[in-house]
Amino acid sequence: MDKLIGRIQKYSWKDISKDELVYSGHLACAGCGAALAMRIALKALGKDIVIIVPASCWSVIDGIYPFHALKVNFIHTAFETAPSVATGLKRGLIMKGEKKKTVVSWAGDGATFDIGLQALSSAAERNEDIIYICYDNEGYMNTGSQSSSSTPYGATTGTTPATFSRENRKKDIIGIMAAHQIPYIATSSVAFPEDMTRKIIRAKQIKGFRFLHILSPCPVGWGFDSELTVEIARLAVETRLFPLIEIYKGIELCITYEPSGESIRKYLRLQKRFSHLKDKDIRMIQKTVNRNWENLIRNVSIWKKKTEDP
Amino acid sequence: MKKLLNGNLAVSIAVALSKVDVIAAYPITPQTSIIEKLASMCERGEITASFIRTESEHSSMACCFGAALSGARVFTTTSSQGIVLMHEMLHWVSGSRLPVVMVNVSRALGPPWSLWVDHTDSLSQRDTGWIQIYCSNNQEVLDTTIQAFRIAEEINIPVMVNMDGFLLSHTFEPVDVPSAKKVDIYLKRRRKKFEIQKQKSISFGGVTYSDDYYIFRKNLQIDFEKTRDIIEKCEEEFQKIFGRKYGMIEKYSMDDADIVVVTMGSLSGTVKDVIDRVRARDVKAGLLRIRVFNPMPANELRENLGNKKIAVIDRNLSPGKGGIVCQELKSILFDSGTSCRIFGFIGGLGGKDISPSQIEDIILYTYKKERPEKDILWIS
Amino acid sequence: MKRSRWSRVRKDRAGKDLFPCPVSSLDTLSNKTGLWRFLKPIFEDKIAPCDRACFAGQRIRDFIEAVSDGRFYDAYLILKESNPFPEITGRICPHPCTEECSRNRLDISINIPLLESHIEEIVGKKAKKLSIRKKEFSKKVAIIGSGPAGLSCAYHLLRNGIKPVIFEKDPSPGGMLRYGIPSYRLSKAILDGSIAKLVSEGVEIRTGVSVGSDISWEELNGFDAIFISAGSHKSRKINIEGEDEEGIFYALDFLRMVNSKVEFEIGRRVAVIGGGNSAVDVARTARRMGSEEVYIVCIEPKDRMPAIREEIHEAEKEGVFVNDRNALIRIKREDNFLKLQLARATFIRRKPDGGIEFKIDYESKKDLKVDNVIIAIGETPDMDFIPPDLKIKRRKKPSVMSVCTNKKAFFAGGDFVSGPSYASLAVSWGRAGAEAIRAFIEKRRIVKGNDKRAIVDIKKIRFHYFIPIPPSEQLKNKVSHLDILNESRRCLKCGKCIGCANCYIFCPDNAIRIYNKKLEIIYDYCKGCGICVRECPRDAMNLIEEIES
Repeated sequence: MDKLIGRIQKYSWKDISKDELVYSGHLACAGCGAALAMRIALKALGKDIVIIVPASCWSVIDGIYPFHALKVNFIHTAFETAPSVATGLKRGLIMKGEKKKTVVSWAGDGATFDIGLQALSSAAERNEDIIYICYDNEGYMNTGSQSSSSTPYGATTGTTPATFSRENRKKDIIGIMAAHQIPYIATSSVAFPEDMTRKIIRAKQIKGFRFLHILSPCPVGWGFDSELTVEIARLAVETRLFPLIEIYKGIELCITYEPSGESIRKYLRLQKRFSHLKDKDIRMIQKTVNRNWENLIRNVSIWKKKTEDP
Repeated sequence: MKKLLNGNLAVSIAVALSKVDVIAAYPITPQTSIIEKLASMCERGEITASFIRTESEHSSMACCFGAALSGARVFTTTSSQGIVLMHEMLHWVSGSRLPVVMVNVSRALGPPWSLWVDHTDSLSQRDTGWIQIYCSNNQEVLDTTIQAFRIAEEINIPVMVNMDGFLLSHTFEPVDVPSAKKVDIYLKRRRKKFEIQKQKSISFGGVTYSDDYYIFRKNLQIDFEKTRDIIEKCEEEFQKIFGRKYGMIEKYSMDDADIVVVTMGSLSGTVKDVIDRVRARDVKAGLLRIRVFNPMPANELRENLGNKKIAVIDRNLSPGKGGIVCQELKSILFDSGTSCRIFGFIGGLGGKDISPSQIEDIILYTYKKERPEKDILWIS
Repeated sequence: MKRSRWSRVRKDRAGKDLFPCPVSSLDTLSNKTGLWRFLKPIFEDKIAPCDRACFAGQRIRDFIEAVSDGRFYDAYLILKESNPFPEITGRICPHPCTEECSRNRLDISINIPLLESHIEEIVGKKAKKLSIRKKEFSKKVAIIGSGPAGLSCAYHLLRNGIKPVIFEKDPSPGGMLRYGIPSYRLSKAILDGSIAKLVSEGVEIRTGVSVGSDISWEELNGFDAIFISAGSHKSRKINIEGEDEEGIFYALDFLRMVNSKVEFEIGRRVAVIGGGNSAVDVARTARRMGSEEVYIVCIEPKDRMPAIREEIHEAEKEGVFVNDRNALIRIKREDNFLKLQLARATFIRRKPDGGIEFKIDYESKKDLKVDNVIIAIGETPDMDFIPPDLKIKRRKKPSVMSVCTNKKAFFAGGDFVSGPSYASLAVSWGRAGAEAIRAFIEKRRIVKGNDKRAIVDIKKIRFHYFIPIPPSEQLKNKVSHLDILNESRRCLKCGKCIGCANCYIFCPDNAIRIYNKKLEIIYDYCKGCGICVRECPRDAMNLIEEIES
């Protein structure tokens, strides 16, 4: 049967571990992308890790004292400190002779793009030996959907109501991290678990600061049926809005999945937060997506040449 | 071995002797030379510590939080704006019950900018749940820093050691530097400590319901009440090994004093001189220096200050409230059944010099007046 | 979530004091998040599009699955459940299953006819062993006509322990399979083999016996029931001038002559009138017999001709000309050829009863000179021989209800009821007849046995999870075991869980587990988000309302 699945289906999931490091009964909403992201990521990260979580949905999902939903150690910390706490912990573990333990920061987009950017930049600059995973639900969803600097153009949130929905574009966190020239940067999506697994395993093999950006749609905040979580995460990739890439040392860029280039309209129309957009807005967003994609493609060639030169 | 050291060097040497594992710090005047010295010691391999150059004091404290979770001995140091920026993490560390040690070199808060001594920075962190110790000379700074590690690790409450910016930090005094062996004996590793790597699957500091939160907070307070005994115990052991003892409070010619000057930090040295001078004129004055500000040594204070006229010299200001130490004293002595009267003087803000003649004026004012004319008496 | 006291938690399992900071160490399994659910995902076996489309009512998806697993014999048995001769239908059926196949949306449909027609070959000797255990029968049923419907009815009766006796007026059994289908589409050897197997299993066939003349209806009273499947043999006429001229044949007569190996000659130029399968069959047969110019004259435009598209295509390849949108107005004998007068047909519309409506544009007349004309515009059942009080309604779809007649113990099916149709549909008629007869004999009420399973919605098949695999080119020439396996493995298994684990991977609540290689939903924790149902590649799950208990 496995052979059969391998033959007709794109994914056979054979690279994904069957170990479950997340207990059922956690407090995520139905169809939570973040919970799914954690489950898939942990399968790749393994047991020998410590996770640092700043204020985020996962502070709550993990369960209320004395309950804990994961089979790994988990440290809650203040909103802006995930990279710093991870730094301190890693240094402390090294001093205590625990050199092999992987320290993972698991932060939302608010803690990464906004309040924690300073600490993130600093830890990246020092090239601390930690894995930083940002699960991106494009807003402050734990507080009931407000705009963060990760919220895309045109989205309605609690702080950007439809009459003046978000006018700024999403912060290019990958560009920022690439500028730090850290050893490894990758984007991944909950709709592509094999891709995510591969990237996390790759990240584990590399030493230094590793940054992973996981798109994890939020049914409540984005306004779609809970069953569409994976579909939307997939469309984000297929529409080229959220390309799956890897960047080594900040210069060597690879695209790990070739998107089919579906129309962005399909992605936007599934979500209530974009429901007020007019056709001309959608055309504009499509143009932006196309331009970004072209830029990305261009960078692939330039950066490849750069690395080939010496 | 006696050495001529300024306060910052004394701290650096104490930290080196204490064999810390992780140091996370961010430079700020007047603390900078502490971390410069520590960084160079780390680089030369004189100490085996991991030095983290953070991008802010907030992150320094976050690093300390993370490192302390692994059971490592951690240290940070800061001043003024730095400690105020740390505020959130100060709460976080004390609530997490982690034995972090911090040296705060007191400096006034902006605006306007000021580089000189003022205790408002650390005193405004009164409610963060840190033990606060104020030092009056460089020997005490060195000794207290060593003690701080012991105290913190005994009770799992973080300790903040304060010294006055420039007046101590940049002033050279002869200091007896203990041998590393003695310090090792004194600072034996904690028995019970939290090490995340030894846990299997736990969540640290997650969300609690109010019932549980209440219990955790209550336990913190209960443990804080035990702190006085712990500090005394640590001091006794310190005395056994090093022959020096400081106590929760420092008393100077208090036996027959009618007027007591209460102060903190380096100012006490000047006050002692003035007391000697006024005693020659038959004014029975004495000095009480509060060394451990949090937890307040309430019993000692009540014992020593009952039925006396008290002149509190505050080198700090809580706008709208007045002097912070004065407020604290008032709250402790209220309802103590004695007839003490408290004169609240405020002076020396932003490093403004408090001259011996001014202190003499304060003592004489207290001596002459039955009650203070105003709530706040400004030393002009 | 149940809260426990501080005192309980402060100590770990070994009784040691935990750190005085909130350290949570109990797992969340006590939190039954299933209580949040108002929609419930379930695994559901649904009817695949091919199964639904199949004229003979075969379980095609299960058959293909068995083939792909290499269980050829099982596969063979699955087909045999509903179809007595897959080797025949595999060759001549129009295969609506391939048209409905979900894979059409991805690349090209599974070559189901190939699998169907070769399965017996692959199973080999074992297939011949297939026997019906019961050899003694208490009940007997007379079947009139040994066409596909009659044979199928006989086969299904036999399986249910009822003895069938077939009366066939022609000298050889097979009906339309023998006389109506040209041998290039179905070789007589295969047909003879299939019939021989049925006979060896206990079907009695009396050939050359015409009911109503050779044997009277009263003589059939000894049977417990009668199934009439006499087929559709009366050729329809066009009713135009010159239809009786010499050199004009009707399709069925023509094919019958060819199939009975009667020697006769066909002219150099032949016109075939009609657009159905028999027209194409006739045209191709004529071409094979040596006619150089064969014209198909039909009213419908080429893309709307009722004949199987592939057959038309093949015919054209063989050199048959198709004159579509042409109506025949009159035929005139001129010397030694026939002159057909054609005109353009417009406003072509098919009537609901199967007839055709059109207007003739008389200004666009043209002539076609041919040696022979073969009229292939269809046949109607010959109802002359049945008892006068027996009335048979024309019905299109086979079911246990539609095989019943107004007379007790009389049942009818196949082309005899529906008019000319497909052999595979006749198989279905036969099965429905057998079922109805069985119910009648067992004195049960005849009720429609409904398949209550839901039908696969092709919109819910997630094609992005599948890889396009075009069929290998070799399939056209010689078929090997491996080709069959490879072809069967292209099947998407619509509506059936094959344990691909998509649902398991995408469950955010870890509420689906793999147990004994099967997927299981743990309803204690399932929050009912529906991701598993949405991401099921083959629509084998369903989201239903949670019923409050």
